[in-house]
Amino acid sequence: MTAQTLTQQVRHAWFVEFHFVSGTTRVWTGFRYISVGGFVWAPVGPRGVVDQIEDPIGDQAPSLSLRMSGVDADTVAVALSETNELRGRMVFIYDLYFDADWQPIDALETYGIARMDTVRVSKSQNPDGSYDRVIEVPAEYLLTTGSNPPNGRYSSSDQQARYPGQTDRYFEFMGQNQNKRSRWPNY
Amino acid sequence: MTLYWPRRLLAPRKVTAEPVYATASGGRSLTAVEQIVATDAGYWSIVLDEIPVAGAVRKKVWRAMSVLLEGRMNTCAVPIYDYEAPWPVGADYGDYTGIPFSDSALFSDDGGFQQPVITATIQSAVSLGAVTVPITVVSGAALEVPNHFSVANQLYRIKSITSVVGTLTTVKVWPPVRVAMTAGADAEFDDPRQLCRLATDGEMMSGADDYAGRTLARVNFVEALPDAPA
Repeated sequence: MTAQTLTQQVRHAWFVEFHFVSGTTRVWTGFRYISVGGFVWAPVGPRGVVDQIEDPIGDQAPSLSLRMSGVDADTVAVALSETNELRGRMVFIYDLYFDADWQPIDALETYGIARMDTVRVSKSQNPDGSYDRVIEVPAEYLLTTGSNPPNGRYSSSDQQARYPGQTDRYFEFMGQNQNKRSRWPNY
Repeated sequence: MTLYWPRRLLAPRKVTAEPVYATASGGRSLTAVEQIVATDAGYWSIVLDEIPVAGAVRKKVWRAMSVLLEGRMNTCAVPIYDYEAPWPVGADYGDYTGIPFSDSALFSDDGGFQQPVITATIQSAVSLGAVTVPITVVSGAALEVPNHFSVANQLYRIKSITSVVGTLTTVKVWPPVRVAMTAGADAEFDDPRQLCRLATDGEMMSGADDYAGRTLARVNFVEALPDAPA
């Protein structure tokens, strides 16, 4: 891989594996479907961008973002409605170099493993009236939540994880109840 | 159902079918070294230019194509009108004669069956993303760079000839194989086509208002992806 990065002609693509709740989606930055590592990867073209990934130093948990530009309004709507699909889920980012015939050199190399956070959408208008839409998925370093005890938060999702199907809704309102004044007894 | 561009009724006088590459560079360094980075081999761009759209029939077909394509929504197999195909000795572009039934009868409009002038098949299966394709030429001249052919409406340009053994020619193609090829599949050299969509929603406007009958229309297509492999 080092030899590849030192040449003047570099054939390189990103491969990103999203582990959504409903299943795994695999995409790469090329123009065609490609079979690598036993899976078929869907193309997103150069519109898909992976941020620079920093090495975690000490107790820092650097973040990265995965961006997709040039998307249409329908895709934006789908992305926004699927936020629950990705929060806290893993995303794997791989590198792959190609030879002059666009055949993979070696196997996929892991470039980063991160935990997806949410979906951000931005829209800007061009002078000709058209819109540029960008979908961004910020993700945090793999061990970001490492210091948290599993399901150790007073949240509804934690409660449901411990007691699935629980009808007690107390923890849904934890945020609202913080610093809330309740008069009791209330005559 | 695949939609085909009406190759005779809306025949262009100029055709450009060329690859679009996407490279990036950080610029030239002080030591004059410049690193060029590409993420993939590229994709096809096909321009059909100077299409006469005068006459009632052509106008009807043009307008029908416009609504069938629905801007960039639908795809269409676009011919590249390859005059430089490896025609067999004595044959030429468009050299199709109507072949009658066994009792010498033709169809009611005096047309016969047609068969390709160049007959070639894929000798053995080729996997997705490969660039080496073995082709058996049953009828046709020797393959050379840069002949075009299509398999399942995916266009390929021969980049180099690897070997020639009898009728079997092994070639390297651009772009990498889009859809896996099965052994025995037809390699279309007579009328190579590429599955495309309009480059912009307004492409068909160029011939829409031809009431004077002089307009020459122009349509830009870009390669459309085939369905995801199973």
